[in-house]
Amino acid sequence: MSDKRGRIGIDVGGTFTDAVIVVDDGHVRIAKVRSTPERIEAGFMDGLRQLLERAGAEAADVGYLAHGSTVATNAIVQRRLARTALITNEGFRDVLAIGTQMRAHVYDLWTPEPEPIVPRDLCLGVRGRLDAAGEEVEPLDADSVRAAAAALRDRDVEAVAVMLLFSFINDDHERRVAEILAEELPGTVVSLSSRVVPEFREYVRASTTALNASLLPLMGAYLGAVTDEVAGEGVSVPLHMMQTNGGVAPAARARELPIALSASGPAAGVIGGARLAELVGESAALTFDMGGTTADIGLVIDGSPQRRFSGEAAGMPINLPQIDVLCIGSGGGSIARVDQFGSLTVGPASAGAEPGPAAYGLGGEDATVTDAHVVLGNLSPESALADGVPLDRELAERAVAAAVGEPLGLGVEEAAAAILRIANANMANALRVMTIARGHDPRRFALVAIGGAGPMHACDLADELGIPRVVIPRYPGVAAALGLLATDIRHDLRRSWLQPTAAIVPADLDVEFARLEAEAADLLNTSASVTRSFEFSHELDMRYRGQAYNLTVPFAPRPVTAEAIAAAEEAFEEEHRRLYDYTPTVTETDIVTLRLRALARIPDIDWTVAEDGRRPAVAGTRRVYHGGWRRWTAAGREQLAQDDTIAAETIIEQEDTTVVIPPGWSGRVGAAGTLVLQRGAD
Amino acid sequence: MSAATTIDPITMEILASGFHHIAEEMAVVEYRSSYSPIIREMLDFNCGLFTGDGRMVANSEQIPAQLGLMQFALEAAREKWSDDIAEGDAVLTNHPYMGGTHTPDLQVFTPLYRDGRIIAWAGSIAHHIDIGGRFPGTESAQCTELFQEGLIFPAVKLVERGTRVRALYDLIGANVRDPASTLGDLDAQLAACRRGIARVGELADAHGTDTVLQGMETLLHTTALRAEAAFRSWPGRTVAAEGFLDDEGFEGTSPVRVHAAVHVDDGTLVVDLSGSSQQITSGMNVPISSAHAGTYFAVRAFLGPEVPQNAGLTSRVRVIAPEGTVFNPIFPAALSARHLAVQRLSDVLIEALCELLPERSVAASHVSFPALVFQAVDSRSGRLTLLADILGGGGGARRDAPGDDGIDPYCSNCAILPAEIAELEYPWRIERTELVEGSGGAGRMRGGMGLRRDYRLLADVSDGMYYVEQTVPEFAARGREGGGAGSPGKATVQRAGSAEPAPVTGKGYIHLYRGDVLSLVGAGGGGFGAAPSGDAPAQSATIEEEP
Repeated sequence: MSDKRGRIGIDVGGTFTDAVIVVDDGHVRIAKVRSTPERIEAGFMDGLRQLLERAGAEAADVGYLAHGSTVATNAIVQRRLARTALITNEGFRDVLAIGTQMRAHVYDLWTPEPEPIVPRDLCLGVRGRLDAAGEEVEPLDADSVRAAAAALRDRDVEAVAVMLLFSFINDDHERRVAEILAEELPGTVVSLSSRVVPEFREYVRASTTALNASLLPLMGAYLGAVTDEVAGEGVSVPLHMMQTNGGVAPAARARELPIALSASGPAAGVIGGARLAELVGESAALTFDMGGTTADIGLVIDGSPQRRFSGEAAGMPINLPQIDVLCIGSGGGSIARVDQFGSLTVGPASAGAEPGPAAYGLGGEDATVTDAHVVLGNLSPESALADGVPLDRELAERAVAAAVGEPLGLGVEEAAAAILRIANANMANALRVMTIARGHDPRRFALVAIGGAGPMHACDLADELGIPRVVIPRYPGVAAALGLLATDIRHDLRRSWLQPTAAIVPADLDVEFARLEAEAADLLNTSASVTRSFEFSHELDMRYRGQAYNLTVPFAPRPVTAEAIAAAEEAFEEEHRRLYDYTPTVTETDIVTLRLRALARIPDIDWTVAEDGRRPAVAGTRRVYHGGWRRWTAAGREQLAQDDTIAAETIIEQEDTTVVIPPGWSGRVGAAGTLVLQRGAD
Repeated sequence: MSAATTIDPITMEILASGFHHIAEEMAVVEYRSSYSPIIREMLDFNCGLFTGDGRMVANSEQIPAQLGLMQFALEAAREKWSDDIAEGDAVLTNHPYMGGTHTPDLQVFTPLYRDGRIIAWAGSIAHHIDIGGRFPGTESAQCTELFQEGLIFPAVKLVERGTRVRALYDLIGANVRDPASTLGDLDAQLAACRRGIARVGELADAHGTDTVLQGMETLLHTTALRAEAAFRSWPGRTVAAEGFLDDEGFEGTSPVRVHAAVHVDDGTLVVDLSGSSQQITSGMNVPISSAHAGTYFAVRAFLGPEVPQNAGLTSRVRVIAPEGTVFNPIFPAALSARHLAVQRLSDVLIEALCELLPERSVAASHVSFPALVFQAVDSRSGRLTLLADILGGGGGARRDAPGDDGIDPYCSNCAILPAEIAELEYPWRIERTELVEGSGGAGRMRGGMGLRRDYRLLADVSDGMYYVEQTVPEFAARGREGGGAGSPGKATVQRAGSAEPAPVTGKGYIHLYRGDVLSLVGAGGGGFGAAPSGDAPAQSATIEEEP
């Protein structure tokens, strides 16, 4: 790390840009500014300048700058993608249109399947073929590539994806296609599947590469603009970008692999939640990030957010490592409804920010989760929400009574409580999917509540699942921006290498890993001005012969030995037993994919919190309904100091959230202003 | 929570969602640890949760072809064993005449005991790659009696009080072509069932056994009310439709008639298949349980997602199929290739329901179901391999949108085998996988395009079965409201060294030799609405193919 003082994380969301700075006295300062969707770099720079001013620092003092951005995510969701072509083997041009051939809506004959992002007439085949060993069956026909380029020339194509069969073993043909395209279509960006996803299964490789290509022009321009403005301001360190895999990478790398940013927003929240939980000694945690429309749930084991190796964007599969986040349509704006059979549902439909919950008084008439909180006194009409919207209890009561109370014959308080129970049941099921369905016991975890709405639901959710502790960071609303500063530089490399484990020659495997390490070292060197603390870790994807779903197990550092391979096989068998409760009759295993994680450690931060003290203390009591009306303690978060204890039946308010501490829970203020709540301790 | 006499709506909602999640979690355990590509890649399996007396409470919703039919097999198993089921037992069944489907669909059931009685069952059904019999892959239109269709398990105990029945495992291992897959998949099915009963046990611990039982009853009751209300809102008239299978499975045989008459009777939907052909002497008969699954698919498509699949729904659907007809054959009629007629049944029922509810009209999707299973020794490993694959065709066009290209419609929803997996794991080269230009029916909205895939054999010899149904133009996927029909499916073989591919019969068992290419083509979907007059059909932009 450079010896400069300020470390800055800036997370640009759809509505707000959250920015945090940690200076070397260990103090954290935050700034929240409006995002500027038309020219995103403007909001980014606004946040940067405000932070520097608050910290009394100069641009030249910035020692590290990390950025989380939803530009790629939003471009995918809104289909603002470059006009992209696909070049593949002759006879396979429909690889994207055919996909897996499976239907998204099995019982819906009326809704068309999603269109692939590359129209069929921009998908072209070229002659040339490799076999399953990467040997040439038919040489690449350069003329057919030139003919394809000619067909694309007048079609305003901005980007070209290239996916040839078995390029994950031998990329000669793909590289040759790129050379010819550079001659024939100068200025058109090209993305090769052997660079983006060197793994088998042609459809997923094609879809990931096509999405990557389609983001290249937009992300290249955006990252170029931010890099220039930051440099123009006088910041001398390279900009690092949050990636979906839970690491950061230099902006220069992100410009080649923008698909790696496609779901980086929720990832930063999980990393932030994980890091903040660790401050109070919780290394096994469930991060629960609840906002206006969705709740994102992440799983943290031994301090590490858990990963998976595939996801989806624009209705197409992506094969890239990512933080395992489960997103469900449950937020403060989720709408409650009762159907004609008396069944109460909450979400996934949301009232959004406009008109928003009925209590906002912006014309919304649907009863939402936020309205239920207002009815029950968890949210107080006196204390406006973060975005400055006042709350109207009468409107909330009217909506809850009409939508739920009358149809079910419940009083307005019971109706509001029922809305929360259903919302909590939905989120509890999602937590079960993240734990029980993955073989973990939720009672072994702490629940880390972040996002504007998370701290209102956390204790009730913990009760549902038997989770013993709830952790609420000092600033739950900016956890993602804080997460940026706790994120290491990370590159995930992999390569399909399908072999029966019993037949592997250790020296061959060693050569493969050595190649991956060389590639990784090149990538890490681009961040040398920030840190030189590099480390590699190796993993193998393995399966029982005949299975299709691999499990990933750790593998010893090089040089590769027969003992290391045997240990990996044993670890695989153990993991299979843990997940599926049995050892199969078939016991031969295969190695499927080699994985290398290359990390450059970002030095740790002293998270002592600076108090801005911008809001006056609101101490006192408040009427809250929890099975009956009672008077609860109401306090401002800024009134709490380290080691203060908090009793059950307390509401804590702060600028970015409200914390509800129901009966049966109590807590104390731990390190860095973090609230640690425990069940059954009062 | 105490055992209340009436369950409150909130607890009810929590339990209903809990039942559904348990079935889904069972499914995850099953496919992630299964072996045969039919289960792990094509997801031809299902997991379910049942009441103590065998009614389905929730299922995992992978393939609709197995929709709601496990309760038939469970009913037969419970009848056979009566009280002689102990804690830790698992029952294995596939007998088509004891509530089963076709023999490759193995079903495993395990009971959950509480306080000395069975309070629930977990079940799993999965299509195994091969269960022995005359043909590789077991399934073939060209079987002529059940005894050619592999091993038959008449609800036998696979596990007794927690101990596996060794003799049964040995017999299975000795009688199937790919014992590693079959035994591995049985492991996965048992693991899924064990997970299911463990989770229901946890629900009972948390809410009380009585509350959970009451939750099951309430869910079934409410679902029945929902289905009934929907059916009552439909017009009261009787509608009928019919369609045909190309032949009985052998060249030169007659088309097979599939006829359905549908009406609502006092809140119950009655589906009368009496007008269908008599049973036939080939593997294309349909066990009665599968006739129900084909019916449930069409019904659910028109009911929408508000009515979940469970015994509450199926109690409001009545299927009439006289004994001795193609949808209720008499033992020991063959029926391993039942899927072709099940798809046609869904197609015919959808046509009938489109007539009943014309505002929801949609053109016919293909029901050609190109599929193959071939065995060959892979010289790279020296092992016998069984390649299985299923291809899509065109979906039906809608009033406001074209049909989907290359889908496996209706009761089926199988994935295509990735070409790279086909070549890495089997001695075959996939030479092309592409949509067939012009195969979708013409119309204001065009039908979806069919799919063609060419398989070249890289081993010395291979034998196996394939089928492509709907090869006869007059039985092609129909358009609606003036839309044209899709083009038919076909199969060809190009022998090594010959200049041209030669057409072969739609359903066959053949030998291939090194360098031969088998090509299967799925049919196109029907178009919707008349094409603008004088114009060419509203096809997608055509692209010049390289010569």
